[in-house]
Amino acid sequence: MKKSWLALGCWLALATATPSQEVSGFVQGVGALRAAASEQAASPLVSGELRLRLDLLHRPEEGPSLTIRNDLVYDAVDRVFRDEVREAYVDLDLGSDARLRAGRQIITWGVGDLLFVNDLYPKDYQAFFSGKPLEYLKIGSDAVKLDLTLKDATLELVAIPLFQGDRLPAPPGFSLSDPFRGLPRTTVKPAQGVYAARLSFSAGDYDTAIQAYHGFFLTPAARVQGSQLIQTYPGLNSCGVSVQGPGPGGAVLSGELAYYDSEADRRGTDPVVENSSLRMLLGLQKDLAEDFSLGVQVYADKMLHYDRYRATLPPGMPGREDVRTLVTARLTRLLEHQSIKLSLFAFYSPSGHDVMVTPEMQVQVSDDAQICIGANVFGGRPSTPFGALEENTNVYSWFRIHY
Amino acid sequence: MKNYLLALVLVPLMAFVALGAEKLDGQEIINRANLAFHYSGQDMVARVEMRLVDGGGQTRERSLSMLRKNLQKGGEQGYFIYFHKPADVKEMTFLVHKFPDRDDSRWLFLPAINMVRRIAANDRHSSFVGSDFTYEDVSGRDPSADVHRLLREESLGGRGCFVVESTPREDADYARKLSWIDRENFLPLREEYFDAQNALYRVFTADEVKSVQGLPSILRQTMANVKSAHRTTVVYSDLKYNVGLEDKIFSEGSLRRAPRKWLQ
Repeated sequence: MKKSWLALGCWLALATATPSQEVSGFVQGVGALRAAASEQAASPLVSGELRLRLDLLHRPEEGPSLTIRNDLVYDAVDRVFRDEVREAYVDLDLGSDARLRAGRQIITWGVGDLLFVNDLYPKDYQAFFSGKPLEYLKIGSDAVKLDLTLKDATLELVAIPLFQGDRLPAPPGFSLSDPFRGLPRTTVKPAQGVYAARLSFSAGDYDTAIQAYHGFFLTPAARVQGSQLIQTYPGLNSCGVSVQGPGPGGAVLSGELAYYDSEADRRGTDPVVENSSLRMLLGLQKDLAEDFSLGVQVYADKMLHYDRYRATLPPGMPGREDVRTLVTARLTRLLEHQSIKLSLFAFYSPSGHDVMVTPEMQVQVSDDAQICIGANVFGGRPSTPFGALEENTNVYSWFRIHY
Repeated sequence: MKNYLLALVLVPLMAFVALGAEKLDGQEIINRANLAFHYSGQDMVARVEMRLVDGGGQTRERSLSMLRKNLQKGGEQGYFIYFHKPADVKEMTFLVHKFPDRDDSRWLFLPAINMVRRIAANDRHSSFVGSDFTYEDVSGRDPSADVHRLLREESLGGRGCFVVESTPREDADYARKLSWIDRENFLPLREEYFDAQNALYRVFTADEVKSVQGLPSILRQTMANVKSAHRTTVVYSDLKYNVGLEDKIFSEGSLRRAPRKWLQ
């Protein structure tokens, strides 16, 4: 609580000292209500928070620029005040062909729509499944990033000294079945950093990128040791390619392919560590009519050494399928001079038969105010990723007022 | 005697040549109008303020910087747009490669998630950022996409104009269009769009025309939707031509790294 007041104090000082056009922000309220009462759920609210965003965007015509995006949050589910530094970085031009960005920054690679094959940067699934605005799906990485403009390509080099994993849905907002309930747990973060590189270029009309990643899985592996649960992030190396470009009739075609090398368990015999895998994605986005678009994607995640995975699966655990497939569809309709956006996004797994559907309506009430209402509906067997969240089907709403 | 004979030959010859030069048909007028309106200068930079007003008087504003460059002979152009306001689109950038003979390529950069993505572009008739202008209005319609007929000449606001009627060769969002093209500088001063029932539904007016660096330019324009009483006014300020914009500004790599030098 004290830290938050300190942060607020710093911000007020900074805001009054810097030119007013550099400081901006918004007030945002989010609430997601569980759709069906649940005995196990600790809270009827899947999420509930009030957020004060302060953006400091210092952009001189020459010289380094500074970006700080900070949120002061009251979380009604956890009942705490928090300060979240979303981003805080400096951009520095090193000559005309190189730029350095250092600090907490959101990095997004890949061309998928809510499906990630080549994007190995941390994500907040708790925010995503509880209806928060899309930007909260991405978590900033404390990184140093160098962008180099080559003759016909761009090379990006990333170093993240302090690894950050995904934020997964957790109680009290989320009701989940936890096989390790009651066990004290420790999370051990990796001591080494993450290194990644991406080379982007145009192959004809197609935006192409080749990327490599040397880091860690974003979700932890949990191992019981004695009477404790130890969570670690096993090593992950990945290389992949992504392509995006024109399809027939002005449509956009997207494709990604990546190989995930599970460094700690190359043989696939460790039941606790994810196996190596091959992942791919194909997408098509097209305008069906004015202000009405459709996007579809097909995704597959093929686990390697599946036979060894099944052989070492602990008794009683249902496990996952050999190839997890997903099909997604996004329908978007804009009305009233694009001030109303109706959208429907659905994930369906042909292999696991689990599903997530998110209908949403966003209204731009005025240039400075937006409201949104929607629902996250989960379904499927409890052993599947979306099915496991069935009890958390929620109806959500948020508002945002800019100042 | 010699002079009299010379005059007898030259005068009709000159008259004939003069008349021939004046005798423009609808297609030629629209070709020139397209060049005057969308291809002035090798490149262009401007600050643009758009005001959208609905029937009830509620106003929304969009403030952006627009950079345009003719990339190739034959009409390929690049448009780079950087939004200043409103808050939810601040620092968003948008790139269009316009090809006269095929679909545009369009990219969008979303600063909140630091992501560049292509967006579908098979509909040039969709509204540009919710305004009454479509993408086609902003970047120009292929002059050969319609059959153009010169109807008459008349005066509009003190300027002599060609009145040209355009009928699309294929399905378009209008059935018929009337354009008043300034005789002297070939800028469109007024356009009336008629739907399939021959009802007037959109009206474009050039409200302020000035010469910038010797090039006649529309500094203020309005598009009004007659049926919904919604209208959009666009004001160009700090308009400059031939400033030497580099080709690389109009490439995907430049979306994340907006060329601050040109964005006031």
